[in-house]
Amino acid sequence: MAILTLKDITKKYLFKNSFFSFYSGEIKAVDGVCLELEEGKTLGLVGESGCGKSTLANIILKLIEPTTGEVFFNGKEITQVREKEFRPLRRQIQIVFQDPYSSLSLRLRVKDIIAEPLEACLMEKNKILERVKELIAQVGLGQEYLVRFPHQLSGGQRQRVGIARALATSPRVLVLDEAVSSLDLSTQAQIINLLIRLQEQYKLSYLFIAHDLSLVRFVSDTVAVMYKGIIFEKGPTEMIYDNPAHPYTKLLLNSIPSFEKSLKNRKDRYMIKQDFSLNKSEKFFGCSFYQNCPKPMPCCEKQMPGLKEIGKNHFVSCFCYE
Amino acid sequence: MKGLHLCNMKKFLNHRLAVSGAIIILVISVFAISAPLISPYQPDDIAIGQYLLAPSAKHWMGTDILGRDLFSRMAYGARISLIVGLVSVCIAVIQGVFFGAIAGYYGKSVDNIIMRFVDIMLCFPNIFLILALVALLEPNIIIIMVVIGATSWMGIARLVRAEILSLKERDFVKAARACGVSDFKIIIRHLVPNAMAPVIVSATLGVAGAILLESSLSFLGIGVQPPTPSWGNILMDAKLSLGIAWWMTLFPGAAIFITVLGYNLLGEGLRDLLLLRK
Repeated sequence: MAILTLKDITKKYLFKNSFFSFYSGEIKAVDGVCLELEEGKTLGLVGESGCGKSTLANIILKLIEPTTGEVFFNGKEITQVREKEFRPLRRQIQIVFQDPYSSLSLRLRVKDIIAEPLEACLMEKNKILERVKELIAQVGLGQEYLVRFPHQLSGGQRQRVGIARALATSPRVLVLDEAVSSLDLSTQAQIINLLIRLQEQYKLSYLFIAHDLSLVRFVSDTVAVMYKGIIFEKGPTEMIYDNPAHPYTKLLLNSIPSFEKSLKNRKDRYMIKQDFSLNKSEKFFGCSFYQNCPKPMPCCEKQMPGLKEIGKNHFVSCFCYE
Repeated sequence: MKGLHLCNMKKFLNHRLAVSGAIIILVISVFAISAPLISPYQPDDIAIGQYLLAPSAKHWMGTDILGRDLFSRMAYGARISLIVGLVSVCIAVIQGVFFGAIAGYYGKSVDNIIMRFVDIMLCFPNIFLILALVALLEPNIIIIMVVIGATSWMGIARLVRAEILSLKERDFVKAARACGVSDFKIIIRHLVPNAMAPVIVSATLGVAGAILLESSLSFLGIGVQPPTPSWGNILMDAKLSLGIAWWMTLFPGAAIFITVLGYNLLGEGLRDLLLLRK
């Protein structure tokens, strides 16, 4: 059974154009997202900047409320649960952030940072220090780091502290919100290996949010491709990478920089038009990818295609497959 | 990155303004603390026939119209003026941080109510508000401190609110919320300590303002009440003998000037060190 299920999650933000206007539109940051995360598996979520990946992460952690939709953790609906009742469940879903420079408070020592979630779930005081020492060893840092402040650590070390904090309460689901994107390649490899080791050790389930596609291929069991808040394609990693169905997925995979490709067909590579207007115009009901699609059809302009299963567990949302 | 790591003692010592301000404050504080040791007379001892004597070896700063030794009165007055300055700023900081933190963290209508209240408070001309309050209540030193504190917290509340508005969106606050840390603890442990740098600067500058305000109130006769000496009411006494006893106005005036200068220099120095640093 899936440990985490997202059902039709939508998050709308209203925006005002000027001070005097009451209401001038809405942005769908996340639009009807359905995802399942199996226990002990990794779900990779890819998409360009600003497509709603982090909003989705915040919804899963119940840091923001979705406009509509349901999140099931271990079979239990959590978006409607009150904060007080949800608190015991919080320890089971944790997050590692992208920017190791803003994810740690500068005023606290490393041991206090890692101890914080333990204190929050009311662990006994004498056990906390023991657990903190155990955690710091697990993420491959020496005991001497416990008394340091974050500004005395490098980016990679900070990220390890962030991971140690997330692991402190032995969560079952870990959301990795671009957890390695801001690190250099060798550190990335170390952190990824650490994460894989921890997953095997504790049967953790990861939601791996990233924009590095080769990295996602390496760690994920299933992949979901997101564009403008909508999941356009999802399925087993191998199927998506070997046989991408949606034009946006093809485009993404095509844009992975590679030496041979860049020599061969640099010219006929299709480039995406930068368009940050999102779905501002409410009159447009068609496919969100319409403006960028290399092969748009007349029906694409009228209606958003639904997700359709085209292979085993391989879903795609495009009229080419209707 | 803004930070309070005063382990940068070296940087502080290299900052001439800040150091000279700190030295002035230190000297004045030592002067105030050691008042019983250094003053040759009791501050309210009246020497009959020795009124309005010019400074001499016997009376270092002369005597006042009642024949009291001005140096002794200045030393004891320093205690009152400094204590009023510091305590009222402490009250203002506590109040400002409390309201600012709540407004910034909870946002929406809470924020709106608190900040509109701040706007209303800022509309009152400070000194007239205090005049009205002191007229209603009996003026004594505690009331003076509370009233000065309660009318000067708005700037700090605004600073703290602004800092917290940006801090609460940071990932470390999200991480704490994701762990189930309570709102109160997030504010106390994560937000307020990270928002303290501008508060410290503004509080240091605020001490100077509070000392000035206390002096003006005492000068008007509604501050610290005689016979307790404060720099302000020594100046008030000097009013009567303005033309004939220059020492009566010079010394308390200079003391207020130097102390305010000291706090302002320290405040500006701290601003350079804590806020403008890259």
